[in-house]
Amino acid sequence: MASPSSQTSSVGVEGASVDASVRLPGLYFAAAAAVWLVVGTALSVIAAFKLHSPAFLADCEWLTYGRVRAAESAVLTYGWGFNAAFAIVIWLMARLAQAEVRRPVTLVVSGVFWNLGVLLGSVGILGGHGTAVEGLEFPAYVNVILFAAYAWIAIWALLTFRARRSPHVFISQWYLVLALLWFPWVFSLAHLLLVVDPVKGVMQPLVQTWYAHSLFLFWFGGVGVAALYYLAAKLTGRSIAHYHLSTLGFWLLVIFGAWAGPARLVGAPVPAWVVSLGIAMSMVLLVVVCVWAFNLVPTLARAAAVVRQEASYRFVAVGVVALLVAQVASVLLSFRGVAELLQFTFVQSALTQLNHYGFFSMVAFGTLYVMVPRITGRSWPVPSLVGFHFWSSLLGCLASVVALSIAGYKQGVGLNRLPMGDGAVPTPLIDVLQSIQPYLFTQTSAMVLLVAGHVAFLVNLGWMAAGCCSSCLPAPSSLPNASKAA
Amino acid sequence: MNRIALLFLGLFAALAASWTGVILVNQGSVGRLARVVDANEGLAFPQPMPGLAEQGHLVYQDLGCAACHTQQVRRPGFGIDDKRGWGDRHSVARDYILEPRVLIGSHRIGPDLRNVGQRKDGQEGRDGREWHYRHLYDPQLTSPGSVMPSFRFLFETRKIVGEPSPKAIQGLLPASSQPPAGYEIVPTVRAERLVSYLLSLKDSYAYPEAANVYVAKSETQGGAAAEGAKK
Amino acid sequence: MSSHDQESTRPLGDGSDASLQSVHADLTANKPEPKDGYSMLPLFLLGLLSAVIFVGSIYFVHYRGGVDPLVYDERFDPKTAAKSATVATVDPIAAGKRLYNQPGACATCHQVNGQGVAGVFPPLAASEWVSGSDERLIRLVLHGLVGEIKVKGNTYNGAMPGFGLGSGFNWSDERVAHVLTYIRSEWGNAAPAVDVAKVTAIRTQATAGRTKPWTAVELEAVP
Repeated sequence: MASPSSQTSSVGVEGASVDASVRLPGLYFAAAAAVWLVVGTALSVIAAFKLHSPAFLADCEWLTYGRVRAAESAVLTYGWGFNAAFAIVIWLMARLAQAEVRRPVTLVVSGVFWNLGVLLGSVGILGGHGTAVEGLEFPAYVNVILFAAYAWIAIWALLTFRARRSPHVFISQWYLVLALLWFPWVFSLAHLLLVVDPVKGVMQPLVQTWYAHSLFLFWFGGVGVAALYYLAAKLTGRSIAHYHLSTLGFWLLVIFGAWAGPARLVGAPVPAWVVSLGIAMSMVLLVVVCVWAFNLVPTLARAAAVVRQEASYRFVAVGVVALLVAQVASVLLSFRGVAELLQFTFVQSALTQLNHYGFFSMVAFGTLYVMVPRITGRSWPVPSLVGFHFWSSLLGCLASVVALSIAGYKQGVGLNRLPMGDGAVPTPLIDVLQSIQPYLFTQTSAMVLLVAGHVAFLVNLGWMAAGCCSSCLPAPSSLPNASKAA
Repeated sequence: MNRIALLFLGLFAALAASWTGVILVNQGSVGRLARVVDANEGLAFPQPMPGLAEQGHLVYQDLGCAACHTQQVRRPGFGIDDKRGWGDRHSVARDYILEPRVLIGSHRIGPDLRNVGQRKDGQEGRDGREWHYRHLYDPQLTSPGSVMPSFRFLFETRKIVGEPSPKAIQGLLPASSQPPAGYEIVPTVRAERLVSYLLSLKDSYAYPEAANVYVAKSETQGGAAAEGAKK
Repeated sequence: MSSHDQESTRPLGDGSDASLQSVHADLTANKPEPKDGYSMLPLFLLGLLSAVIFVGSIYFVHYRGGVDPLVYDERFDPKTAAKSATVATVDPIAAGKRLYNQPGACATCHQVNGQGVAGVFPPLAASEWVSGSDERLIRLVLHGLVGEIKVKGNTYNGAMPGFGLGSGFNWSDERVAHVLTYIRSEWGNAAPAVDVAKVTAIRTQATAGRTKPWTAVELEAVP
């Protein structure tokens, strides 16, 4: 048992046996996530490159821009995002319930099905079977596989939650339950209403934004914020500041958050009141942001001097900042005056990047960097790669967000404002796009940087997993929990 | 345990509330919009897409055109869609009710295409078809500097067997893109469908709800004053 | 701020998950005593929440667009705008042009340019029949015409079907009025528009019960 004064996150005896029981599924989902991450960001590079050099790979129908963009989004969401989230959910649920994972192999089997579904779906998109629905790009048949695979993982997690030992339900568990319950509902409803028997007319974009917004805010947001609360406490060895406020933030998010989706449809041919309601509801999210800030920032800031050098702490700190900035920015961007200028532009891409990468992916990296050494009982084989991964992710994300924001602002001005002077005619779209080429090129470079960091992450993780497997496989007795479950 | 029951119940209530408020209520109104029958013309609007265009809609969908092109015209004064000639009026919900997959899009890397059929109709050869073929074959031919990728894979270079195809498009292409002698470049069925779809895109009918736009007070007062002066 | 923060976080005992749970359970059960400054935070959040709900409500009420599924402009209020909103009116010229060019209708014989076909179909452009008395013109279109007719000095002999209600085309009075308004204003013609009420009056009163086509002689008797 580590001494409490060490300030680093120490693991109790119970924690060690729980961690060991997470080893198999945790490592599986982490590795799958890392592979999809590299694939997904490679697709990002291709898509980003095509934006300034349209002739690149133009003769290959499978790699035409529209398909690469859809596949990229699907791979990063369902491949990287979900696998990472599954790893985090399993580990956090088990640790917070202080219960060992039972039947870890079934989780891996579910995971295999999930990843087969993602593989099938991504190839399907590139082959032209995509639905073209943002956030639900996979062909119809894939969604069924995903749902079945998800169902078992979620049921397992909720059973673990039910078997928890501590009477107190920590705020992370609230957020995890939120994520686990919310996703299957919105996913199945969106699948039914958009893919199986599509609703009529503009109901489709309405259901789509409702789904995409819920998916981000409640699934990725739920898992990410759960991990943030847990890591903030564990990394600093201190309780969460103003902890009693955390449930207020939780309920405000749950009650108001789901209504905010249609705020993205400003100016679209959907009834004006739906959009106005969405904008009004999204304002309440500012209070939620304040609660997160009051809870997480002081907690993390307090121990900054001690643990700043820890990689996971750095990832988590970046994640918190990105979460707060992105949430405030998305409220601001939904205001009609702002949306008039910046809707349909790369500023929206920048916001997505900040949300999905700056917040969720950074938090996921931070969690995995804490989790994987714990569950394998090993340290990272190449520590320098961890630092490289952090800096490439941070710089890549920052460069990408800044470049896309500037590009998007210029694009918005060109698209939606008449040049000065009497009788001015709109700037031709081609000129607008030409004027932002340098920023799009920066975006490509940023994506290349991200790929490099992700390869470093994959190498480190693969090395560790290989070492772990080779030491475990010959002597199954060294893995008592896994063998008991099997 | 009570608090856990509360948690589950609260989550369910919140989900059900947002579902009802955002989706169900609208499904009952917007989701049930019907076509408008115009007695003057003896037709119902919107009119169904021609068969070839409906198949082209699937090509548009599977190539991911919606990644760069929106299909929603914003109202005059909100952006400058009207000044760009992207449509005579803003889009309304009824425009979309017959479309199997509504692709209003969220990025404008290219122009809005809601009324692209109107823009090219009757212009630039064979009702705009030739323009679209040239543009799809190589966007630089029609729009130098465009970042749109070429869709050359929608065309087929094949040996002329017997009579040259009347659909062949190499005559529209510059010398650098000419096929070898004895060969011709023809659009595939998918290209024909896609172009038919693009040409079918025009929201010309003025639904009554398209007039539901705000008129600034000063304008209405000015109008009333002018009317008063006439009297 | 930082001094309060230090007080507001506690060490997690041995750092295990169990102690994490118990410390936070304790924090929830025994809310920290309100100290100077510390109690400001919930107050601030309460104030912010109220403000945001207040602003949000006003925003929604202001931009609700009548909670109408057919309003896409958030500033539009169906209640106040109902009076000024124009009832969808038909442009008679545009509607008439569509009717004129309908397959099988006027343009089939009189041509799109209104010139007719020399010797077979009389022209409409600059025709004294078109720009002259609307009484005759309405009757002609309602019920049709047979036999010889002299237009612009040339004599034509043919048969024109009726277009009015009850005839083969069964056009409403509005349509008849629109198409007549169109031909009277197109191709250099500049005669006044034809009133729908006049068409209705002629059909239901002056010529009530008539089904057979007119002859030019009969029409010339009409003022």
